[in-house]
Amino acid sequence: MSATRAVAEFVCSPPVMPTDSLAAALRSRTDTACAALLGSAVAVPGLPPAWTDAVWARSAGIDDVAVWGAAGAVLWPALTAVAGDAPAEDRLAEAFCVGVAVGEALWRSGRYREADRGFDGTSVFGTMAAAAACARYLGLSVDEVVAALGIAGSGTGGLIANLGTDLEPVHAGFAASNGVRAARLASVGFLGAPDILEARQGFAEAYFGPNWVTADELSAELAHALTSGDGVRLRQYPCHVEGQTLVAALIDAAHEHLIGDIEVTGIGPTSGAARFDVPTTAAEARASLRYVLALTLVHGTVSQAGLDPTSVDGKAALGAIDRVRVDVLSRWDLPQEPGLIFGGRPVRIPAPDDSLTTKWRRVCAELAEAGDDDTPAEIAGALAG
Amino acid sequence: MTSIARRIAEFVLGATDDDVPAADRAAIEMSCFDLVGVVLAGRTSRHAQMVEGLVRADGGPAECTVLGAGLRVPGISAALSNATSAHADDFDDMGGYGHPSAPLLPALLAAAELRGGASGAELVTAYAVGFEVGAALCQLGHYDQYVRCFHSTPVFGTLAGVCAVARLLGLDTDRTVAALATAATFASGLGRNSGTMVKPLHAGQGAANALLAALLARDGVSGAETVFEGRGGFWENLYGTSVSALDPIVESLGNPYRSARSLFIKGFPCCGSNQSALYGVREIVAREGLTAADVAEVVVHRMNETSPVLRYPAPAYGLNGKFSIQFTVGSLLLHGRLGIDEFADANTQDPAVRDMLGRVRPESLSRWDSRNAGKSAGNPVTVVTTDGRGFDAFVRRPEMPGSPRTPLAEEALVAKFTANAARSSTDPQSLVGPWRHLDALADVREAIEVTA
Repeated sequence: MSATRAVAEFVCSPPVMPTDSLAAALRSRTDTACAALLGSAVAVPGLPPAWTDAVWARSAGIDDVAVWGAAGAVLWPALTAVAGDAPAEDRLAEAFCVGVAVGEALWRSGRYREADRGFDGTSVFGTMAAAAACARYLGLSVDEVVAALGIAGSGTGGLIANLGTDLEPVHAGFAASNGVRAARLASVGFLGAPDILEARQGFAEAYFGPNWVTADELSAELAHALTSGDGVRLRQYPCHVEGQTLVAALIDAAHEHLIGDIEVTGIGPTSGAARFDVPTTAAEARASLRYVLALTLVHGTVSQAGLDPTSVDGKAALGAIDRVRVDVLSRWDLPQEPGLIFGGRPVRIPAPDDSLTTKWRRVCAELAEAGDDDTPAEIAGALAG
Repeated sequence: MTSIARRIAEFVLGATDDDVPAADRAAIEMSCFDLVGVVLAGRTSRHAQMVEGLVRADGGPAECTVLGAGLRVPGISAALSNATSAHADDFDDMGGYGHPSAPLLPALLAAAELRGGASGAELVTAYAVGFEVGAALCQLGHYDQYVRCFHSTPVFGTLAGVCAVARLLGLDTDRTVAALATAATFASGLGRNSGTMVKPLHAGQGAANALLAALLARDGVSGAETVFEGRGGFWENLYGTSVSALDPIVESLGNPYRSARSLFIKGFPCCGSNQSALYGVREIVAREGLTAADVAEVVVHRMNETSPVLRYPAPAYGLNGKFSIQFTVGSLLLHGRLGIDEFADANTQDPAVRDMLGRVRPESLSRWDSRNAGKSAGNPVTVVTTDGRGFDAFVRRPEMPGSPRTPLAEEALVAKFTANAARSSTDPQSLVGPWRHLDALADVREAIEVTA
């Protein structure tokens, strides 16, 4: 059996869905709906709803992530688009899990290194994940899923040079809409290459190089990805995923009245968290570890308002940015876990926090403090729904 | 230092109608005319109908025309459908960066309608500058789609298209830089999908993404100024070579213009890599008065190891056949012609055709053979008859009918157009006038309207 067919068979007949994976899917759905309430998108006539909704969900930079990139912001708009007005709720969660697993299995099997290959994982693996999820929801046959993967493969791309610009959320729109289009076209008989993953000039060669795994190895990755249950992580703060626990650590340390300068250790040379040193826009600020930690120092947290370097809090953060030093590892150093030294003392790095309630209660408080009463009410509605 | 995107934008916006030589304008006119006929034929294919059905179902504001369909949809939907139709039969022009007009013209037609009209001259100049950018990046950068895996038509078609549309929509330099960054991030399309329904969709993606990139930029969306030369940018990801190559590429834009020496009109509706061998076989058959029954074997020489037409020795359906030297040569011998109908799905399973497949032997060059260096030179052919005679022919690619050196006669061009247009139109002859002299058209919407 070919690798492409192995994925298609997994999509059509996944193993029994673990309950924690389904619960993670539902959490992601709520989180994505809330994130979209903070977002924005340019409206061009004729853009498919999946495109616009994905950009909305991704643009505030507080949406959830899978190992391959933005998950909820890509998959929920895509699934909502194919589900229409009367979605089958249980099948939505199942389709989401299938999509996440396909993206993760492809990413892991190819040992994808985004910084080296240069294409955004969100728009590469997200497109394939969205096609798989939509195909699952629509109940496509194995042959139709093969076709959907073939079509979707040609919709993958997205330059990482554009991360930290307006186009970063657009990559999510690109993935969601191309995934939907692939599944819809496949459902009416449109055909792509039946071996898009493994063939010469196919997906794996384009993104991983000519040597890739066997179909059996890919099947094992798929099963593992589905059962791991924690394929999607919440982002508590609107900044790069690698900065999340460092920001949380700094907030905890600040509660202990530590003062002094900050040194961050163990940051890899290709980390997206340190893409920008001193940012000039909010999009750059999300990917500037120095900035978000300086903002945490002066403002007590990373808020949407503070991400604007021209705002009052933003200017204060820029004023404090020299108190933050990020020691980037060289390529030749062994990888390390990130560490934080505050006032000369190592700070404990907490485990990732997956609490929806904590996250959105804090965001709502920030919004209310900034004088926005409407959005917190909408978020409360989304959480209740 | 001025970024590459900004230098490209300055060229795109700074060119005047007079800068584009008459020969280039004439070549563009010819390609655009040919493409409209090809769209009207292509839209009747099964796969183009599926895409047309998709945009019909999606609906939205009735802004732009799906040619031949009696349908008006949002601009990006029209661009997607028209460009997919344009490449549906692989009968559209080639040169520069794969199939230049299939993404470029549909994007421009949609932009012209969105703008509320544009003269033919404006459209031709916009095409010229867009083609310059796509062709210069592809040719002078020595982009090899078979090694890099991404199909050149959607990759460079998106960039060419966005330049052309940005100019037509009147974007300023900053907004054109933003549009280029957006288009570069949309450049996609895997080479493996050659010979499937997705290959025509690549042209559709290119046109739709080019238009979308320009519209997003117009409305304020920005990307990386250094999208071409920056780390993780277009050059590093698509070429992997030193960015120093970009300087001479930008300096070459419009210096001189290259449309007139690049655009080919196709004679057979299949991958361009078949065409040299097909002309050679046709020449031998005509010269020697042979029929299929006379032929024991056809040897197609100098096939490159990465030749796309080596992909399907026994095609499963018509689109596969367009990437099969066995099928194209075998069908030409069997039927005495090779038009759109010869690529009907059923023909690939016809026992007479299957019998012909075994008589065509492509002769591949090893990677180490120095003749690989001339891979664009074309393919000599040898026809061996059942009585043991052998006949040779070699129609070099640069000299094929429809090439810049051997352009089609006007009658042949019009005949191709009307035959193609007749697949959608009951009066194809009436469309010749509006489309043949695009450069002189006061408003391209006049031509679009009669083709709706």
